[in-house]
Amino acid sequence: MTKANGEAFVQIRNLRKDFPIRIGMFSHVRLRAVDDISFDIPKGATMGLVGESGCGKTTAGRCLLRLIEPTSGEIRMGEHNLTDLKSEQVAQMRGRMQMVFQDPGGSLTPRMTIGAILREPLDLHTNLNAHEKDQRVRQLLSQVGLQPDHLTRYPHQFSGGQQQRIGVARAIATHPDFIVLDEPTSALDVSVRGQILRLLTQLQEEMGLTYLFISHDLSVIKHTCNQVAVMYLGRIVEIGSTEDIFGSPAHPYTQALLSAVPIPDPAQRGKERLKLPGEVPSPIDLPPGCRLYSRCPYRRDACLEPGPPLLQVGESHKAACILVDENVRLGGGNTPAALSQLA
Amino acid sequence: MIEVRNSDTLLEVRGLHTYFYTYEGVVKAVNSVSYKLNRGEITGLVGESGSGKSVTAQSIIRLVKAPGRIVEGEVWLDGQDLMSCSEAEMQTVRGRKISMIFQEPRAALNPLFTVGDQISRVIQLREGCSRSVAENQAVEMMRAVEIADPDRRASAYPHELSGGMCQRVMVAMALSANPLLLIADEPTTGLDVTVQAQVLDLIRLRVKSAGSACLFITHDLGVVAELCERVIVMYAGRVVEQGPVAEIFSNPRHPYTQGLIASTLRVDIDKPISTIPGTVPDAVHLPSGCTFHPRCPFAEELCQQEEPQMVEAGRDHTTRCHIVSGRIEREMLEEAWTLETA
Repeated sequence: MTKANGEAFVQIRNLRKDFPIRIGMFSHVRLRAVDDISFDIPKGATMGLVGESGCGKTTAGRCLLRLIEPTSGEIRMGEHNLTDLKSEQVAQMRGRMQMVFQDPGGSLTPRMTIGAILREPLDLHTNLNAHEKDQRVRQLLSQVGLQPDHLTRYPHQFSGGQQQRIGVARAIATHPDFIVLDEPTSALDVSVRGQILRLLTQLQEEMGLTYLFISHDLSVIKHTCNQVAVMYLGRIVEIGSTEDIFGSPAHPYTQALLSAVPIPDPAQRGKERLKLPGEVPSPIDLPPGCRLYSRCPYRRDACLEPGPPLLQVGESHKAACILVDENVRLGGGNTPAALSQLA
Repeated sequence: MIEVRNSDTLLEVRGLHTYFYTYEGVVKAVNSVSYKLNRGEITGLVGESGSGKSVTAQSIIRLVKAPGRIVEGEVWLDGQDLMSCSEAEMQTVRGRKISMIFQEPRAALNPLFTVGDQISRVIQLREGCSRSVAENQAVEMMRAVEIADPDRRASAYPHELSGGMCQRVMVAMALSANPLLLIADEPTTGLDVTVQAQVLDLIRLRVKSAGSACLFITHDLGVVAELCERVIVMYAGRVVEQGPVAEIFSNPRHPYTQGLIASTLRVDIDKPISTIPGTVPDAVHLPSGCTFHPRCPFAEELCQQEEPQMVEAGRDHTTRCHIVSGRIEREMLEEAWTLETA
């Protein structure tokens, strides 16, 4: 984790992405994968985007880089407004914003050597001559902890951890400012995961990178991010510093998510848990109220009204739960204890 | 030879060797593995990819796919020697005495039949009852695994259900045969944490109430700590440590177990990111001596030369390490895992 200065480098405002779902021959319904999300990432910081499958975190990450077109909203990176750019202009910007994918094997072309894979972004985005490119590729390999003789090998000749190192090397090849990390360690073994996380942190410090770290794994988010946004069914339900989210989670969903994570300590077995019944409902044609309504143990009728907006819990800590207002006014936080008293 | 068996022991695996004969060479996926499973207990089998945990399970039910072969070893289930059973006898063991839950529930279910159909077939096979009776029981089983609206869901096809729902169907199917042994191979990998918690509760409840044994294969130490009574740790085809769960977590003796616990990130406490250096070894060319020595921060010359034997490390707790056996005098420091390694 690097110390970040406060100024926002990446700014997301009211980002929205709808997918049309075809039903029958002529009619469509709308699936709102990302619903009105806004956040800032300071330069050199890591923002964590966490949520369960289908919550829209990957869609949001891809919209940010305009790998898919957002339906509406604004994305700014530094002085550029990415949403205003034409697609050719976005292509030119690609060297400055990159992505690392979840499946390290699947995201590397099997027919290209590592050398060719790493040279490709340099061909596309830089004016280096052949010799300089060669040097840069070798430098990249040593930056991610691989050997020069790996250059002539193919992706399948590497282990998962090494493949992900190659994925990282490709992402940093053009000296980007911003990298979206989409579940970069989910496919890796525990013992190797730490190596990749350390590499990412080290590169961030060396190169002043800004990260959006997408993951469903709360423990990874906790160890890598400065700020965290929790998503549920397309919306951000809670956002704050890592200490806020993990230390005093205010939204019932965040609380349930945290309490569902198994703790690797048998002594803590049988601790009280906040359980959510049922499963994530279908994201098609959702009602206007709180998305968690069908599963929330603290629900009340007011939750069915449109909203709720993100309410201030602490200085930089917001949660989209109508009970926050009540609890904060009562002088406490939106803690599980306070919630269960109200309910 | 008559021997006295512990009456609590349901399954005993002795000296199991399962090898895969590939073009590159022989892969010793399971190499001299021995363990016991007790009734009413959930035993966690932990290890990283390629450690041989799934092949161990496949060997028990004798479903190792070619080019794999069980080369040597004994598997005793409730007094029955599974290795000397005929294939016909094995068929009755599978499904009736041993049930299995797989990692990808959607892939393990037949897409052409409704889930109610698939569960009732298992019941029909076991009970020899009529179809309509079995169908009613299937709905009851679905209710037991907390599937909401089981009457309607019974006529759904696997693709119409979510991953968590399909996994419940798998659990219902596996348990409807009232098996003596339930083998769960990464049953919650790929499920969301809130759904994982529900499925784990369900498995715990059903295993405890039926008094069966469960072999729970996972790579997630958190799940083991919450669910299991005993733990078996595998590395490169070998059992490197086994013992009671509290003992393994509070006093891990094998360096690999220590590294695994150290590198598990936690949401409840702050600690630096730890990691085991290097990667899991190539299965065809395993390192000499102790297979973990190239990654072990405490390794010495003896570890390269000689494979350590299983030794006592505590009550009901065994491990395979020269330092624990006293052949090497050395302290194992926890800090070793947090050091920066290239």
